[in-house]
Amino acid sequence: MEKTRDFTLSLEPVSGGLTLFYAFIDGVKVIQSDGTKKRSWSGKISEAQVRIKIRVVGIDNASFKLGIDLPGTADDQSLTLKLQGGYYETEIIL
Amino acid sequence: MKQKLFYSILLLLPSIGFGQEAKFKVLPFIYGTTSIKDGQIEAGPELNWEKETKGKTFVIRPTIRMPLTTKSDNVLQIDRFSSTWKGILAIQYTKDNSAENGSISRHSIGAQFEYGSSEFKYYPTGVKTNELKNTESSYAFELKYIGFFTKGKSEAKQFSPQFRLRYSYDWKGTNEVGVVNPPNNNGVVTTTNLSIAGPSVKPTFSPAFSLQIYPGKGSFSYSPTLYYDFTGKQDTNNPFDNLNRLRIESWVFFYPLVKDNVKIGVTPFLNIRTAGSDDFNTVEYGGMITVKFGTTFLQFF
Repeated sequence: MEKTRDFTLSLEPVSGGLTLFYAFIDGVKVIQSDGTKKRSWSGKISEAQVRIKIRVVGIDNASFKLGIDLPGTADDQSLTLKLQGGYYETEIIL
Repeated sequence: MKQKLFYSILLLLPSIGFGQEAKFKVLPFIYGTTSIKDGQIEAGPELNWEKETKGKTFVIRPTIRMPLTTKSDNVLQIDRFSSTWKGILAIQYTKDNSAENGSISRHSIGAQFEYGSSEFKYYPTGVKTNELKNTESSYAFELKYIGFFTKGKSEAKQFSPQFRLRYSYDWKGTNEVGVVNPPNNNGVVTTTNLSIAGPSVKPTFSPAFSLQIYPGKGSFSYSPTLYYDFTGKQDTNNPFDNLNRLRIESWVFFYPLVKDNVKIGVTPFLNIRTAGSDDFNTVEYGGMITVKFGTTFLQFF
């Protein structure tokens, strides 16, 4: 049986116009919401390498907070990111 | 027979709950609008059923819409304005086709039913003691489509075409008029403002189209919008055989870099009577300003 670890991912508006939040874990969509409030996903992910992809659509340089909680490895980490030309995407390997 | 139905429902519920592996959430929903002359607030729960992996979201929103003020009689109140309390049931289905890479697109289809019952008081003889009351039911149906398309890269243009069809049958109290009172002991004549006629209703059907455009640069989006309002004859159900008005708006929205997803909009409007007659000029024009909180580029109608 594959070993797993607890994981929480969140996307939260900070400033400006945020239209849509998307998050994918190994290609599977886990967040698809409008950007009006904090959206999060909690669950178990594989202990092997996992790929997280974030896509955010909005207006100009709106900013949002990306939150990651991986107990024991990255506890309650957050990063404030800015859209460029109304869009931002990033990929994280955990 | 009843027992069978009960067991069927019991069996059905777990298959809805677990078979789909979907998330079900209940969130509060509050939507308030106000202008210089009138305002209203809409509040209630939002029941949200989501299956992210398939890109599907289904929302049910039972709310109550309350007028904050009622003194209003202007050419712009035809849309969702309500001078009385209304119960609203709204449903929305969204299919989001966006994947990890490539373009971003989604389609939302919504429907809404509104119902309200109100008591209207009036004084046909112009005397306060001779009061009559009528209780009338108002209702409205609305169908809506919201699309969203962008390439999913920096500085890509964003488009959101939106359609709305709305039928409303909304009873309104008549405007008050000044009724002359008998002279008092000193011979002074005064007036009292009273409604001297009962409420009336004119059915309206209002198709509307708007295209939200974000050019990919800057803090502004643009929304050319067309409304075509059909207003029927008094106390009938058919909205198509009387007054028609075309309204053209050209919204410019500014998104300041502040908290709470704020957008500030301004537009000139042109309202042209194309058939029938009413109390307004054939061509009316003016401007509107709006400030919205907790909203997005997608929310317009």
